Amino acid sequence: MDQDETQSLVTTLGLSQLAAERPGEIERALDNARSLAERIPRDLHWSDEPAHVFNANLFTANLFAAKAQQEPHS
Amino acid sequence: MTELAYLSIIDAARMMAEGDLSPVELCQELLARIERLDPTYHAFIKPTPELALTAARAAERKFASGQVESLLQGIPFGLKDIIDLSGVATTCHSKLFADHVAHKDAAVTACLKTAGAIPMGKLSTHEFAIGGPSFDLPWPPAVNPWGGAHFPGGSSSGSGVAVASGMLPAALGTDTGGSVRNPASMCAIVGMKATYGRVSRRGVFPLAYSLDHIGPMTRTVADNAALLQVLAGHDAEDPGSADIAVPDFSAEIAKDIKGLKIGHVRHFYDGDEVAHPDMSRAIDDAADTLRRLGAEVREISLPALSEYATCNRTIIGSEAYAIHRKFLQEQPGDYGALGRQRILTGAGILAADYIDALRLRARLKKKTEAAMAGLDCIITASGLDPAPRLDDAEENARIYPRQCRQPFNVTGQPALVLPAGFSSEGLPLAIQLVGHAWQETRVYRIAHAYEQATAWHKRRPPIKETTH
Repeated sequence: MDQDETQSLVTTLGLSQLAAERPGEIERALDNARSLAERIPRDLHWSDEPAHVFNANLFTANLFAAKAQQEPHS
Repeated sequence: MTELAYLSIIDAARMMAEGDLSPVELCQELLARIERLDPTYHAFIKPTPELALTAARAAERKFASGQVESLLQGIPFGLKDIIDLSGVATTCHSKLFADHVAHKDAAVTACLKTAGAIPMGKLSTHEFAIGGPSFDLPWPPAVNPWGGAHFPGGSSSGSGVAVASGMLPAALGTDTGGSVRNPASMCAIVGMKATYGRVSRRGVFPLAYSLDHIGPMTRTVADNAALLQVLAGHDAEDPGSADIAVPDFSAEIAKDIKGLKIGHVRHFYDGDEVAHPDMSRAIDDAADTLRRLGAEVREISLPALSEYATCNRTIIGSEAYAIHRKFLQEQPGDYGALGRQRILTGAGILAADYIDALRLRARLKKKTEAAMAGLDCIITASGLDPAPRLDDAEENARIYPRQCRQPFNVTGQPALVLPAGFSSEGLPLAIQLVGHAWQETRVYRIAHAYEQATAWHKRRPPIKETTH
């Protein structure tokens, strides 16, 4: 990534203050992220789902339970 | 004095119930010890003597009137300072949150208070449970009482130090990539990360929502089971909390382990990575001890340590950055250098890589479960090295990723560490025992059998007292 591309990314990330105050930190962070990404296995099949996905039953059950707990007991 | 400082929860509870120990006396004794030791060991961000004494007097009144509501009644505890205690700042060991006063107790704090336990204060951590050990924060890093100038592990550093040095019999830590188990290992105490969803995360400042666990830290296995008993349970206000029955974690603790099947994961510390020889020997010796106690121990293989580590670090990086993005944009200078650098990694992780890490997580969980089929538990390393010196930044950076705890944050299984000896330099060594999801009771049984067959938990660190 050249300097212009890094600058553009810094602006998109909203990290201009950090980049100005501490030059080099964002570049190091991006290097760390790239090195992590390179180690993620790429042989995952499209049918391999993430460990946690939206679950409507669970979502509504939690919502009702939380609401019931917040309501004062009659 | 020393006897009270190192009294176990179980013994203190029995003595209080029989009228042989006053909760106020124990509380005052430990507050005085904190005052003497903490200038050297920096376990506390803020002791809370007024809250402690008020609670101790209330416990004393209950004992006097014959009301014994829980084993934890009158027992002092400390909280890693990312866990809310109403009316006290939750600083996260950061300038950014120095004045961030909690208006409500965290769910775990409320559990302990309801049980009649005594809140002794807030304990030091790595900044936001990720950036440490650091010397550029408003409070110094905690110091390991074993050795006196060594890293105590992290990020629940103060919790490990306070319990190991006899300032507290119990503390809570949090564990996202090993942060209960690391200080427990380096300070020669017992640390448990129960199954994900077993203990509520409500009121605890998050590092990574899908990996954060809150865990008990104590000096003995039986104490640990007693403490988890009070913390465990469903909380509808924590979306990660599991609505599952809570067993009696001490139910099997006195049973022997004859015939139990234990998988020995050697390749984590003698293949994928190579542990310090003292550590390697201690774990192999522990496996032999379990064999001598009648367990069937056989070597098994799990996926490579690096796969779990990549998965764990990618998820932490992404979720932590999402939590901290606004602060990094607006107040980057209020972080310490190490915390900022570690959290900032998430800024460069693509959404697709985060999703791939979550997909990898599901695969690793499945493979781990398959490898553990028919087994009661596995034994492996916790850390790979004895504690380095606290001021040796290079060595701390080298050993930071060298650990075998992350796999079980990824899989969400219960994982416990306990002392397994000392290095040639006198620094603590540890083993890790890992059970099937929701099988904490079995892990405690095996850990207790090992603990009772050895004497490691009876050793005390060479405490240096500050003289005024």
